[in-house]
Amino acid sequence: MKKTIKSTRNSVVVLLLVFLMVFAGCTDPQSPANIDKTENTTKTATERKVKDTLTIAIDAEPPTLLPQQTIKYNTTIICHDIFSHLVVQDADGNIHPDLAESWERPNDLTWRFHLKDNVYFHNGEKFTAEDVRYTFELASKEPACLSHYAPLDIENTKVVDELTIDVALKYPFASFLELLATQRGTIICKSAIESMGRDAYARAPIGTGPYKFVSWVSGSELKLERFDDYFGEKAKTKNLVYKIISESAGRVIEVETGAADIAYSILPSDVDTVLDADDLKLISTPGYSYYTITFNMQDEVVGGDKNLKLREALAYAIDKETLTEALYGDTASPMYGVLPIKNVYSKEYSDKRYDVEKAKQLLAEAGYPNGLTVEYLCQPVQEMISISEAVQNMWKQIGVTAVITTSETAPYLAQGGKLQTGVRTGNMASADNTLVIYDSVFKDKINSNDDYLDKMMYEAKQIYDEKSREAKYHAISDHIWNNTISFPLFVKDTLVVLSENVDGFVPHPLIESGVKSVVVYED
Amino acid sequence: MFKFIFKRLLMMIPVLVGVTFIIFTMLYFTPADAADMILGDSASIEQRELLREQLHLNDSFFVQYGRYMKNLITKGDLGTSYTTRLSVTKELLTYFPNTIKLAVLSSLLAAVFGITFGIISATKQYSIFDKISTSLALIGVSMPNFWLGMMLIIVFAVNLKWVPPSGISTPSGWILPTITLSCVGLAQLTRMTRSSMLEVIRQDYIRTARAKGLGNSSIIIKHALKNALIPVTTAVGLTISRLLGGAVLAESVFSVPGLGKLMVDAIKQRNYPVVQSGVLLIALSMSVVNLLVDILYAFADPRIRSQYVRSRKKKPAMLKGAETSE
Repeated sequence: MKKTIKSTRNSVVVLLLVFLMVFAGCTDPQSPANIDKTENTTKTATERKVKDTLTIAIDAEPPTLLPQQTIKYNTTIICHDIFSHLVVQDADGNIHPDLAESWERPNDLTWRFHLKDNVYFHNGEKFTAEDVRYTFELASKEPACLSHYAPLDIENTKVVDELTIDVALKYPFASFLELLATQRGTIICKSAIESMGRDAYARAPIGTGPYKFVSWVSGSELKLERFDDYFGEKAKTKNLVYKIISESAGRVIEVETGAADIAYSILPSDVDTVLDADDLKLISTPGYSYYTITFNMQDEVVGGDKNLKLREALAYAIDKETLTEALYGDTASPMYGVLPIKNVYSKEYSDKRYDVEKAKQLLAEAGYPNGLTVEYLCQPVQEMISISEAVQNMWKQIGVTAVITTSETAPYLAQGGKLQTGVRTGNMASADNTLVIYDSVFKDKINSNDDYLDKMMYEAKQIYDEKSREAKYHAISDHIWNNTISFPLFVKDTLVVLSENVDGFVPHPLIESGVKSVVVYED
Repeated sequence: MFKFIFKRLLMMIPVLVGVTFIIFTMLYFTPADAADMILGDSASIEQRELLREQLHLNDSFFVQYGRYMKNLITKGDLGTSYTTRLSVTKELLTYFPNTIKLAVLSSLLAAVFGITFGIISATKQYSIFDKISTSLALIGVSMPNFWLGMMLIIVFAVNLKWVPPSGISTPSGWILPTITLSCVGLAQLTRMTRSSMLEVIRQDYIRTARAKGLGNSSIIIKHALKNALIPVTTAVGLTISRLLGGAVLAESVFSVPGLGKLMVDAIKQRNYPVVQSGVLLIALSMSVVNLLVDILYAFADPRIRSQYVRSRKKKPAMLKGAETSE
């Protein structure tokens, strides 16, 4: 069969097209340029027209808008616009009054709050101590909150008068204020939830916040409107729209095209796209999400006091700086402590703990001069896998082979800490929040089974004296650090993308909702 | 005819019951449950137990299944979503219409263009049009539709700004998802129509028609097309079924709140009522689509119609001596 010239030419053309398509997929990796780590500075252009709607792209629909029902991220940010708390916590961990004007402790088992007067809910009802009591009562029965409210004695919690409430405790509870500043302490409207019913209230909430709820198109968007009778500084932009866009790249595109003004939950992989675009700004602030290597303290091979040297060896083999730099560039910082970094109780250690020779030596002292194999579990999320592979490589340097198994979130949670070692993420909004993974009550992946640690954590929650409390938390931190119960790696930055027309955005790593001060200009 | 339809509807019932049973069993024996997923990593044992009680997760297999079926049959109640605490019926009614709209629009687009291109390719076989459309059909079938979706967004939404990049809050938001989803169907239908038409054109009766002196277009439209469309109808039915099942990737890329995305999220979160009812709904709609396709056959092809419809009165004079098939 003779091949004609025409068919040969056609084959060549097709082959060329195929090669072109293959190479079109390859791009040069670019290193991140300067990322803005500071707040926006106010623009002086006064002729710019201001838009009346601020559009924010979020990654998923909030399952509910009843704050005590779930602590999912998107519920948190939207509830922060709609509701208020008794107190608020700033980025350094200091507590400030909000709905509560002042507070005192008549004795160790009572917190007395004096509430602000002339505060109104979105439905016109006045905010009173009844709402506070109702909130606590509801929270103490909610699956997502009940353990956090365990110290509260609801029976004996009394409404003294319209603006005063005496909260009774079963035992001293020093971190109460920190709890009240979080989503679990959000104040809900008693009259509204009683008349609407809980499920309806969760879909159309009434709060005291700067924005009131307008509408919710399931799966698509939520609309809020400025509440003009807000007791604090009024929101600058009248309308707020939260658009649900599940892909991170899609959210960036939304801001690029002007269909949205702000995008949350940006992945590090999209950082380059944002930096390359002319009209986008990336805000990267140290966040509260951190990653740590944990060990199952009940495991024969890695757990307990007898295997301390092994754990130390594994810790000394990890080069946190290189790992963080390689995987996240500028958008994460290595951690050298167990407790939250931006917190009043923070403690960092000077020993950077990276020494390959020492690691090998410790490994030999632990009884494994020829190395060993460990089982390593992580969730099949790309980030976790990248971190795990880097860790695996570093451990190989000292002769330790990590066999990585990935497990979907649900079975991962179900296996209840049977892993030997693995990486996990944690939240360091407060000291208690960070330490929760070590607490036996939570039976988490650490399986610390450490009575001493449990006792210390229980005591720390009850110490009212700041200095003593700090000392206790430091002692806990020392215990965990010295025993290498876990090995923290880094803290991720929170990444937010703004369009160049956005002004006044205040990044707060816990709740990216500095939106009440945001102004958006027309192009 | 109605007997046939009725019989088919009756047959659907054991199918749907079987589907619910299989799905329920699979979900029940999958590790981890909704309580873990809703509360996350750092929830105390006490908290998890409370939520499990509230969601009835501690009941035995048959109790849970029995409760679900009882509610379904007696009250038409599909249960309550574990994550949102809304009724599942309400959630499905919010998300499913979007999927139906997308499926119908995309199938329509695919059918109209696919069949047209297929006919032209067949009648002008080996012409330049034929070669191009066959190659494009091959590319269309092989191309991943989420990649196509992203490319369309970049070109038409970001660079040209003709359409919004995502979401279906404006009518123009439907354009890109429809085009993306119609691609595979369009390619398949082009190829299917082309091969079916080619086969039909070679038949003797077409040669007869041509010999009789009928014009080309009238031959194609009146004689060839009707016969060629029978396998194509199956393909269209399958296309709609596939899209009804939820085009998860396209729905994610374009942020369309549809059934596919709802199901994937529900499976990840072990939101059993939603998964179960969602699968039931998909099974039901696919059965209905198949039934409609079969009925369509009856209208299109008299040979098939005669199998379903028994003639009421036999005319003895005409049938005397003739073989009857019934």
